[in-house]
Amino acid sequence: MVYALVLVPAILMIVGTALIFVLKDTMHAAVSLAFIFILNSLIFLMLDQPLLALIQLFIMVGGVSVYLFVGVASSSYSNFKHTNYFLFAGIAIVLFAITAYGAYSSNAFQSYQLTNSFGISEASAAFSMSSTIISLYAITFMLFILALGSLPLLNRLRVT
Amino acid sequence: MFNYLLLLCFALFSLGVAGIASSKHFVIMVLSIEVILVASSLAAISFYSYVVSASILPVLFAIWAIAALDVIGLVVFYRHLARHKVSLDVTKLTKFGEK
Repeated sequence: MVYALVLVPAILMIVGTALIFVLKDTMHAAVSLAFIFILNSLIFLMLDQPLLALIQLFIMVGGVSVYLFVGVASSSYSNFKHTNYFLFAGIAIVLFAITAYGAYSSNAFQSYQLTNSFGISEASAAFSMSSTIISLYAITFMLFILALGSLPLLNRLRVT
Repeated sequence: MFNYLLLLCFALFSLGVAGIASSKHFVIMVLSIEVILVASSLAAISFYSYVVSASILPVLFAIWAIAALDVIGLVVFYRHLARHKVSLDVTKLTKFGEK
């Protein structure tokens, strides 16, 4: 039952992603991206992570997408046919085949199916993550500071 | 279930990379990066839901921070290009630098 429930947003996500490159207007592409964000948070909800789904919805749809609408997509500036469809489809199919074949042919998937541990034990993975949590927090903090600091800097350089 | 979610992540990642490679619109290329970030967040949360029992929040915060920084950079650069009335076709940006 859960498989079928996840299958619907999964298909809609792939269709929405393709629509970004098919639609000519950037506003429509941004709406399609917001649709993908909503479906992504829906999948989070199906994976029993309601808090993360809510945060994802607030940040990506409420923050990033709205900022994208207001800042870029609302003015239809510089519209032109932007994507070579055949090149897009060819690269996507080849890359998907390479990544999926590379993952499924490796021993990692087989060991995951046998031991339910994806080739590594839960304890070792949890330990490695706990040792990198501080660096991840530091990277996040640096990125936020960089984003905030870039605005007065660019204003001083008369870019904005 | 985990395998299907991982396949979805591969598909989204492939579409994002193909979008960057085949598109010449600056905004669409940045939207492709957002698609890749969506795929990475989905891979992270599926990995943590089925394999590792640890806190996923730092990873997701890092991904969300990169996505927000990406859009802020897009808006700033977009306004800069629009002020100088330059096309968003990335193949013409070299001419903009020669001015």
